Amino acid sequence: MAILKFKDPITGLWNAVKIYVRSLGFSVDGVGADSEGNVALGALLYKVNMSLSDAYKAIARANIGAQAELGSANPLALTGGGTGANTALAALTNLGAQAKLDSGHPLATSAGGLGATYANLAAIASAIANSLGLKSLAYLHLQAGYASITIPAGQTTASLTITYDDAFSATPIDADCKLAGTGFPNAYGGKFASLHSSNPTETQITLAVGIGTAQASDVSIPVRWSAIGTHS
Amino acid sequence: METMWVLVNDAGRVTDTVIGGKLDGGTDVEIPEGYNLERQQDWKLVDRVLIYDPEVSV
Repeated sequence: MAILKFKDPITGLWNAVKIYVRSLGFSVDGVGADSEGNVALGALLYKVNMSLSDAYKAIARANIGAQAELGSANPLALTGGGTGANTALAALTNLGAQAKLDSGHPLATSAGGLGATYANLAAIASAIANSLGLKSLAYLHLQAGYASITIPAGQTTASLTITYDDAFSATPIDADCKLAGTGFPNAYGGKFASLHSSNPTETQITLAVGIGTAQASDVSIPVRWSAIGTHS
Repeated sequence: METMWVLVNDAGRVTDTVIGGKLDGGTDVEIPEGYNLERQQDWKLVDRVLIYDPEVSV
């Protein structure tokens, strides 16, 4: 902004001033200058019919160029509707930090986040599976195998307890045991296989076999078993 | 290498076999070629290895 003043060549008085304020986009022929030709701000504002608040707005608009860049020297405003310099800086900083997930960089717990902190991607996957009602599928667990149980000579029954390779989280929801060998069911007066009355449990299954007629030598009864439930 | 668990009697002869599980007091061994679940008593455990030794009926 430049303020010009000149002396009236006729009167010899400093009474005529011309002002150009290019950055604000207006010009004015000055009046109300003092004896030295200086124009008071009030007179200037009066001449251009601009209120003080309008003048501030004009100045603010002129400063928009400076605000176009966000940096330590140009933070977002703390007051008057701004988002706060610290908040803005923290948000920018966290953009880099959030690029990875670890114990030091958990997902947000506030509104808009996933609602909790998660240790790793497996925990996130579990949360999503639970949210979608997929828990029973995600934890489906099946154990199965073959076994051969010897019925000693002179006896008609025997049992065998098997420990699963991987335990269930609770008693299996279903289990089965059936004959698996050849020559059944008529050999030895009839062959039988079933689960023991006390099984299965979370960790073991007990199989029971029998024959109709005791034999003079040992008899091996092959069976096939299975159990299904949720994984521990 | 596929393995199984076996229980043996005092003579080392197989009395029980499990494929797909574990047996308390049993031994984890490699499944030998020709092993038959219905004739498990024909195998004896020697130094953690199953040896074919057909049982003689009495």
